Amino acid sequence: MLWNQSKAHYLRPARENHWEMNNLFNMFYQGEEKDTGKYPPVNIWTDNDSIIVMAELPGCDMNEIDVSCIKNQLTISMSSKKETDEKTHYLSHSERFSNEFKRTFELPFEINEKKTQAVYKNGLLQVIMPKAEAAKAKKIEVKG
Amino acid sequence: MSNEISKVNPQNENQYANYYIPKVDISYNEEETVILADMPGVDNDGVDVSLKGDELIVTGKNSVSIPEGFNIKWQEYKFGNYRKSFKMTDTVDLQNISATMKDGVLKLILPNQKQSIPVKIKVKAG
Repeated sequence: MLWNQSKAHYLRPARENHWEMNNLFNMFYQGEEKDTGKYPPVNIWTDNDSIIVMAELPGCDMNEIDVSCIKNQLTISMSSKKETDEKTHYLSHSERFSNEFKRTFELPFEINEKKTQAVYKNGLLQVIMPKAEAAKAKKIEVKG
Repeated sequence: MSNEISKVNPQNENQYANYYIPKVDISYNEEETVILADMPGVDNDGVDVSLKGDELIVTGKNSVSIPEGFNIKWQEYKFGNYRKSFKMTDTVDLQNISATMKDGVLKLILPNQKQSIPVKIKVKAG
């Protein structure tokens, strides 16, 4: 019983929830897009004060998308499947992703959760996260 | 199908080399065929559906702007326009094809021609 439980726990993140961590510290961007096979695919931009995560989520109900962030972690998830017309139509060809998902990102700095904004438009989710005050670089005066 | 495969091969130097092929679902019943095409970043005005002979051509213009002053750090998808064509069969009623765009998904409804919809014939007792 104990073995079963531990194995189930081990399998759940990868197979059921599409759960994984991306550590931006370890990212090595070579100017080309990478297909990680993870859903949703994202592009990430940064400047000195904030970070933008843009995810391709076509055909989602805005109210079903869950975005949460704490300290330096961002989680994008949807717990329901996309609407389909399975009951009235036979599916003959399927390429689109329609299952529930959960994806967590580890960001390179702590963010200000209160000032974080998420916008969903034309099938793209854009999350704009400003750096937390504590994470911002401070200028230190050099004394002679 | 992975995102990489569904994108047009950049080495192919034809006029559609910069277009991406949207992922599609196709479903049908006795009355119609429904095509759903994922085109994130395309709004209502950016989509174009046209019929050339028996070829239905769908193009989508991506309206997303890249944030100014930001540096890209991680990229799993490319920004670009979409194009895909579908060969129509004789059973499709080409005059009554309808298209709607919502949340980056194009929904095409291709009704069957009336004569190709099966009609139930009552069997009378002999």
